[in-house]
Amino acid sequence: MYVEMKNICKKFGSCEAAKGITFGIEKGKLTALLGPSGSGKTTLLRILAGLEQQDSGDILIDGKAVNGVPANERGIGFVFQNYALFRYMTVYDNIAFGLKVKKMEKKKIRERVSEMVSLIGLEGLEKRYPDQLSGGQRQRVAFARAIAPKPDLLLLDEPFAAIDAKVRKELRAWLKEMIRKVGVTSIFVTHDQDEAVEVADDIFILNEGNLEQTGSPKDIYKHPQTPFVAEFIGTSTVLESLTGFKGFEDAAPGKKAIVRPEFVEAFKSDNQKFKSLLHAVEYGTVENIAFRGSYWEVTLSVNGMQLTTNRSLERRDIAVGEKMCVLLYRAYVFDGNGAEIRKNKLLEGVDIEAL
Amino acid sequence: MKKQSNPIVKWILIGTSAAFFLLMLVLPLFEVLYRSLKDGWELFSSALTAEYTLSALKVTLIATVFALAVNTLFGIMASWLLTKFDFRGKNILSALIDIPFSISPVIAGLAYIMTFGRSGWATPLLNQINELLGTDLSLVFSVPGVVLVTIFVTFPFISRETIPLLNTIGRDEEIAAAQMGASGLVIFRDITFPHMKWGLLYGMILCAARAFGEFGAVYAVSKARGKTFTLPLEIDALYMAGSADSITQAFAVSSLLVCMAVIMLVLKNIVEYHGKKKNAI
Repeated sequence: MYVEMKNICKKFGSCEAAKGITFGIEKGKLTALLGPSGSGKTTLLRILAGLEQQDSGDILIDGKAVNGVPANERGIGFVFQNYALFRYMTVYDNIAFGLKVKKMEKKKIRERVSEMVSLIGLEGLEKRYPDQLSGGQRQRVAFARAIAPKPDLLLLDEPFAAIDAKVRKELRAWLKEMIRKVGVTSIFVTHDQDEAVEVADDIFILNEGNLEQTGSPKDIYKHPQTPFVAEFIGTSTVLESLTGFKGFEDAAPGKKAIVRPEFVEAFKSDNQKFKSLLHAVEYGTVENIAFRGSYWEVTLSVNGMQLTTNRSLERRDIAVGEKMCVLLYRAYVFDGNGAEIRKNKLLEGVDIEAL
Repeated sequence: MKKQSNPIVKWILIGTSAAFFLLMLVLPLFEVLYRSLKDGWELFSSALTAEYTLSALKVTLIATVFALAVNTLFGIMASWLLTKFDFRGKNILSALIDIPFSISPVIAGLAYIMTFGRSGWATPLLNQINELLGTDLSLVFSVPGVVLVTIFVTFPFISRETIPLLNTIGRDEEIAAAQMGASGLVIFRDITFPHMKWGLLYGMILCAARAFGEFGAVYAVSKARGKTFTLPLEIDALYMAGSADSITQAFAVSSLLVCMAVIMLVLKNIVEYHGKKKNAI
């Protein structure tokens, strides 16, 4: 493990930002710390950077304990949430700052800065000030400033938060590619699951100062281990009980279940494709239809419970109040130990994935 | 959409304020210039080159330079301390800086007399220091006394300009610089100072303008005409002498202060303009 945190605890007054967090990150990986606001993810990043002091616990970078080592001696590059670019310095001076502080030779500084400028594709803008740059360009400069001194570890605090939605997508791909190119071990903090899924190799999910689950994006999506993760990742609906649904009669009563839109199918009763599965359907009423750009998000009321499904724009139009057949393929059921996937019994033997 | 206001109301307001400014500010100042030149150029120039006037000008400039130097240094330190650090009693310290704004300058002068005057508690201490160093320093009824009270009354001007400026800018840039390993001095020189320089200059101009014109506090600790009098005190002395000539002379010396004030006003506006341009993002 290249970066290790062992049993990190941190309190701000009565608020526990980290309750004994332990994790390890391999060299060269791009990891996302994902969690809702107040989950302690930024605090953890700042503790790792040395901008915040942990109450207890150890931090190891490359096998060496860095507890008490000042921030500037940890070999860490940090990209701040709003970039914190030096407003009274040009792009060139911003990128050169960390090198000047290290007392690097002037000639080498010039070489390194121009290397950085061409890496981020801002040639010709070296003499501009941050307020003469667009949001995306500022982020690029902040990135270049952080990696110019060749840090062993790059930390990014909500790197896309200050950028408008349109540019954000483009920058995600850009940042991922840059980090690949530079090959630096990186950790970034985000509250946006799409961002984490798209950019990171590994995702660490934090909630209320606890590490809930770690794993690859697909792993976390397919096998959530706690109710929190199941609800947080993907768009999920929580059901009080599954026992009312056909095919789930033997599910333990009183246990909560979580259903994703892709676990639910809704169709009109004269549908040809699903007519062989009519024995397994429940009947529901369309309560709400929301346009989501490339699909409809349809909320249905089934047996007094709400289910959500996504409907392709290519399919027939439906209306609020319409009766529809609702098929529930599977659901996550949680007990004390973790999540279990429950499949619809009536669909046994049916190749659902081929539908 | 902008709400269309009644043009009559607008012109009444403009007219009233213009009349008010004219009556209360411009006419009296014009009167000063008029009266000072009324009896001819010769009397005017002789008033300006009189021994007392030159001495007063010298004392005023000394007090201003010292007040400016001390308060600039203090203002930078105080605003740095109050915006970049968190500590107990920060709010109290912040409030204390404003004392000279809320206390009448005469009280400040009297307080100095009570402290450093003949029966003041600090006088034995001062005497000991004088004995030790072989000096003859006195802090009341002397030029150093004038300097001290001027420093006192102009104390808050600079920090009051720079503190809000540094507060709105926040600490992010400094934290970023420190994270990269910059020393405190480098951070101040390269990051903080460029942010505060226009506010600092603006505060210094206000401070200088106030130091020129201070009357009450200086009046309390300065009693020797031709030695420790500043320009405002000299004007008062000339005016109080009561003869037609001396009153004209008082106006002549006043016109000097008015000119200094106008210069300060112009400088202030230039600095303000630049400061706004630089901070607008």
